[in-house]
Amino acid sequence: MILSQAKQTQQRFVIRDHTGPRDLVERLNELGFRKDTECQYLGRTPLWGPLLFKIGPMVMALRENEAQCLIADPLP
Amino acid sequence: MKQKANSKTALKVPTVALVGSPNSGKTTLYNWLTNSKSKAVNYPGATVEYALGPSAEHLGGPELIFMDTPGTYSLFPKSTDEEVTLRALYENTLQGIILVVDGTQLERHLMLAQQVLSAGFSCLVAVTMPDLLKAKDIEINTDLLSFELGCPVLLFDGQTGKGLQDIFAQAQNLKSRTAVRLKEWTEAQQSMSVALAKKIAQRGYKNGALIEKVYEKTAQIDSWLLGPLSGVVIFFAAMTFLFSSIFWIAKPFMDLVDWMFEQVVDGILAAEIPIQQFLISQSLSFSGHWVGPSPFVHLTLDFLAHGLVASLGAVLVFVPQIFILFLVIGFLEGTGYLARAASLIDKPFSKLGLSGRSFVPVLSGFACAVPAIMATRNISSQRDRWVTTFMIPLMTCSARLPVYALLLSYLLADYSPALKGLCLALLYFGSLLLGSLAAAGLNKVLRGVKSGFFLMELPLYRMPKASVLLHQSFARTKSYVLKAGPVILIFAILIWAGTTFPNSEAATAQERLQTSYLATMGHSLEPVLRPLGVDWRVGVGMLAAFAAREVFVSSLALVMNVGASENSNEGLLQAMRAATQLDGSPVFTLASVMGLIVFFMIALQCMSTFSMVWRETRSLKFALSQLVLLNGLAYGASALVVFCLR
Repeated sequence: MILSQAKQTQQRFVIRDHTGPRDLVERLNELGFRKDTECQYLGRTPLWGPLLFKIGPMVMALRENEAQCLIADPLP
Repeated sequence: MKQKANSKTALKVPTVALVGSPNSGKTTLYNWLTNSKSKAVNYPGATVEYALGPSAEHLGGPELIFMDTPGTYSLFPKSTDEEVTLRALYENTLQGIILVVDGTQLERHLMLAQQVLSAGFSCLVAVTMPDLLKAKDIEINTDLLSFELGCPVLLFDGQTGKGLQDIFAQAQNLKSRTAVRLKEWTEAQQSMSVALAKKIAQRGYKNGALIEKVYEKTAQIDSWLLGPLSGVVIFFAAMTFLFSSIFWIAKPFMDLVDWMFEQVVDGILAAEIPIQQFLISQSLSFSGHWVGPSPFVHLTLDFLAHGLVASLGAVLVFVPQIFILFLVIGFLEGTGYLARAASLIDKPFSKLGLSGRSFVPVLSGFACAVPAIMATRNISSQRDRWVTTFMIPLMTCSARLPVYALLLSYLLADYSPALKGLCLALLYFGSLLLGSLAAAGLNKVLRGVKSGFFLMELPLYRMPKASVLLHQSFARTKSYVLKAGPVILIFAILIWAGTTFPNSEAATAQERLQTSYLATMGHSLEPVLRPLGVDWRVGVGMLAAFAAREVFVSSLALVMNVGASENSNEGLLQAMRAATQLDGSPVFTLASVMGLIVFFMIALQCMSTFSMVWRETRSLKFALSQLVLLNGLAYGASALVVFCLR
C-alpha cells in the first residue's frame, strides 16, 4: 500500500519500494525512509495537516504527496 | 566518478566549516566556538546566508575562522540552503570540516559524514547531545567511531560547552586537503553507506537500545502540542503571544524611541534662537550693522532635526519590534515548537501554495511588514519565500490603522463604535483575502520554479540558552540597521527635501508644505487623482505616506491647515467635510473615501518595506515589480470602486 493511505495510528509498516520524483525519493532515503526499514504511523497533525511517522527514534511530518512516494507493507 | 572542485577563494585566516544536518546542534557549537560573533555572508544572487566568525579569544591558540553553513542532509543539494552549503565547501579553501552529528541519531547522520569523508575533506566529527544520552545511561564509544571513520571523534555538550576546548585543539590540527566534488551517489553506494552507518552506529553505542527513551518526554509533550484539540488551542495561544509581543509589548519601546528622537528634534530646533542671537550679536559687534536671522542656520537645523535625526528615528523605531520578534521566533525555534507549529498550519497554508513555515512571517505582517519580511529567512524554499514576501505588505499593518481610523470615522461619524470596529475587522479579513489572491497569482507565475519539500523533522524539545537567543536577536537587529537602514535614511531625507523646498523660508509649516516640490507633484498628479475622486491635497498626503503610512494623516492635516493645537482627528474631520473641489463639489464623499480605503489596503507605500524587500530578496527587480504592481492594482481597484459608487 501507499503510505499516505495509512489510517490506524500506531500501525507499523516496513517500506518495500519508492515511487515518484527522483529528488524527493532521494531525500526520503536520506531521511531514513529506506527499503526494508520499519516506520510507525502516529496520526495526522491537527487541521488535516501532514502525516506523522516515527522512523527510528525520530518523528517526521510528511505531506500526502510525499508519503505517496513510499510503498509499504503493514506489519501485524 | 569524481570531478575536481572548481576554482576556490583563498581565505586569509585558516577556516574550518561546520557541516551537519538541520537540528544537529551545528549552530550551537558555532556560537560556542566564536562566542556568537559572526558576519553573515551571501553569495551574489542568493538570499540564504552562511556565517563567518573568528574563534573566541578565551580558546587561546592561533586564530581560526569558523564557517556556519546552512543545514544539509547530503552533498547532493535539493534546496537553495543546501546549494549554499555545497558552494561554501567547494569554493573556499578550507583547513577542514567539523562534521556535527546528533548523538541520538548516529545512523542517519553518519550517512552525510560518509559523503563528506569520501569527498576527501579533512574532518573531525563532533557528536552532540551527549547529556541527553548520559541521562539514559547511554554512551558513545568515540574511539571505535574514530577508528571506523578514520578521523577524530569528540563529544560536545551544547548546554555546558564541555568538549569545546578539545574540538578547538583538534580543529587546529586539521590539514587542508583538496576535496573532490561527488558526481553521484548511486543506489549501490547508498546501500553500502546505509549498511556501514548502521553497523558503526550499533557498535558505537553502549546501551543503544535505550535511545527511544531519550525521545519519551518529547513524545509526551507532543501528545498535547499536536493533539487534535489541545494542539490547536495551544497553537493559537502561542501565535497570539507572538503577535501581541510585536504589537503591544514592542509598542512602549517604539514609543520610547519615538519620544527620544522627538526630544532630540525639539532640542535641535530650540537651539536655533540662541544660535541666531549669538550670530547676530557677533556680527553686530564685528561689523556694527544689524544682520537678521540667518536662513542658512534655520535650514541647517531643520535638516538636522527633520531630515537627519527624524530619518534616523524612522530607521531605529523598528528596532524594538525586530528584536522582540526574533527573540520570540528564536525561542519557538530553539525549543523545537516552531517545527510543530509549521506542521500544524501547513494544510491551510498549502491551499495558498505556501507551506506552514510561512505562517509566522505572514502573522508578523499584521504588526509590521519590516520584521515580517526579515522573518522569511526561516522559509527554506526560495519560491515560498518569494511568495510570502510578496503577500506580506498586503497584511493590515499597524501603520495603516491611523489611516483607517480617520477614514472610517469620516464615513461612520453617526454610527456606533461597534460598527466601526466591525468594519475594521472586515478590513483585516479583506487583507487576508487579498494576500491569498496575491499568493495564488504569484504561484501561477512561478509555476516553473521548484517549490521544495515540506518533509519536516520534529526535533527533540530543548530549552535554548537565553544568552544565545539574545545574541541572535541582537545580530538580526544589527543586520537590519546596517543593511536596510541606509536605504530608509536616504528615502526619508528625500521626502524631507520634497516637503521643504523650494520655499524653505515660508512663514508657517503649512505654507512651506503647500508650496513644496511634493505639493507641486501633488498638483501635477491631479489628472491622475481625479478618477480616485480626490484632489492635490490628498495627493500630497499619499506621496508623503511613502515615508510611513501614518504620515498620510499628519500630512493631510498640515496641507488642510489643521493646526497642531486642535484636537487632531476632530479638526481634520471637520476640514475634510468642508473641503471642496474647484467646482464646489465635496472632495471627501462615500465614493472617494471608500476608494482611499481600497487604495491603502493594496498599495505598497512604505519605503521601509520596499527597502527590506530589496535587501532580503537581493533583487531590485523583485522589489520594483512588487512596488509597481501593487500600486498599479491599488490605483485601478480604487478607481473602479469610486466609479461604481459615484
